[in-house]
Amino acid sequence: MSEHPSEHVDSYVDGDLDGTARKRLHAHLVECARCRRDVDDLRALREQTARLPVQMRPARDLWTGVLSRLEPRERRAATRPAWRGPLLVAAVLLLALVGIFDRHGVRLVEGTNVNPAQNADVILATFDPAEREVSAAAADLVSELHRRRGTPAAQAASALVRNLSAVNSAIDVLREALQANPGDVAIVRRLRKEYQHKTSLI
Amino acid sequence: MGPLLNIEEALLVRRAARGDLAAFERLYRTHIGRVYAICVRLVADPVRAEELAQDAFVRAWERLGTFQGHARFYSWLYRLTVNVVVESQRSQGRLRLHEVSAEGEDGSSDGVPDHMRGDSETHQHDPGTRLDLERAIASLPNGARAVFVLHDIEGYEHHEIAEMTGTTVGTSKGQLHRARRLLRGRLER
Ligand SMILES: [Zn+2]
Repeated sequence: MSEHPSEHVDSYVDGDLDGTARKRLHAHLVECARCRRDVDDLRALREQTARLPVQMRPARDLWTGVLSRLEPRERRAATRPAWRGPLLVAAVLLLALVGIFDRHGVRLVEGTNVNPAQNADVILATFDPAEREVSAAAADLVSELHRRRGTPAAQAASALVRNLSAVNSAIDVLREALQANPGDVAIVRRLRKEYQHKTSLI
Repeated sequence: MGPLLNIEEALLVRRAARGDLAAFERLYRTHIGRVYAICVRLVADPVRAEELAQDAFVRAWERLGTFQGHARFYSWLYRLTVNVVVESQRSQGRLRLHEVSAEGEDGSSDGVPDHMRGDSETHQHDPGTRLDLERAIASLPNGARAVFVLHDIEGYEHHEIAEMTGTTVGTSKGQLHRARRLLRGRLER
């Protein structure tokens, strides 16, 4: 080992130094204040680095540029799995219900205590009008968009329709996820959030 | 948009692999921040970083079919991003990891991204801020910066860095050592 084994100090701080080499470095650290300071400084730098954000926002939206360069894939019939199984249907309706209750300021304790089978009628009855409301509002928007094509109002509406279709796509994926993993509370929470998002858009 | 659940991401990947652009856009929106951060820190040039981040997503779209479900999508995507950047840096002669002395210790053009430079006044006399560290990283010579970003920020191990950048473990360790000493010097100034 050289006079000040500073490259070993890096490995040591990174936890990459194995048995013998680590023992030798320990022995050196006992003797050498300079290398001990080196260890402290490196640890401080590592801590500072660990606090850097792992995400950064680009100055402009890059998606349009990406989209324009994507080669379409050969179209296959979209395989939309059928939505079946009474338990799952109940679960999804429950989620929607939670969102809608929130919207109307009514509290519903997390779905686990609710018996979906018992309350299916109630759930359906509450859920239907709200879904209809959202769908009708979306349909209105689309026709409004056609009527006022090119105006700022239409641009705003078009952004809203895009957002809505993004939420619907997210909900669609989550439904498929729930179908694959019934009873997964995390999926249920995400679905609930997306439904809340959907109603808040309208 | 919150973080995706594993299964949600897996389904989005499957849909995108079949040609679903909406699914791919959600993957893009979920990961652009990290992909861009990798690019901008590796090249220290926001405009090139934007191009490289786009290149990475275009390549991801092209190669989604080769993505195997046993890895997490994000780790596949981030590694692909590093490869895109490394290839580009190499083709422009900007990444010579083994020639430590060939790159000026000063990193000549200071390489500080403008978006970090913006409010430098407020941070100039405040050592230890995140901005000082970002600036110091950006000012490192390309090779040392690449290894520092990959090891200390992105968490890759030396053997992975050696593989991704076509160098040896020894060179990777040497560059990391050099990067950290340069950073310490620059932060103490
Ligand atoms: Zn020493």
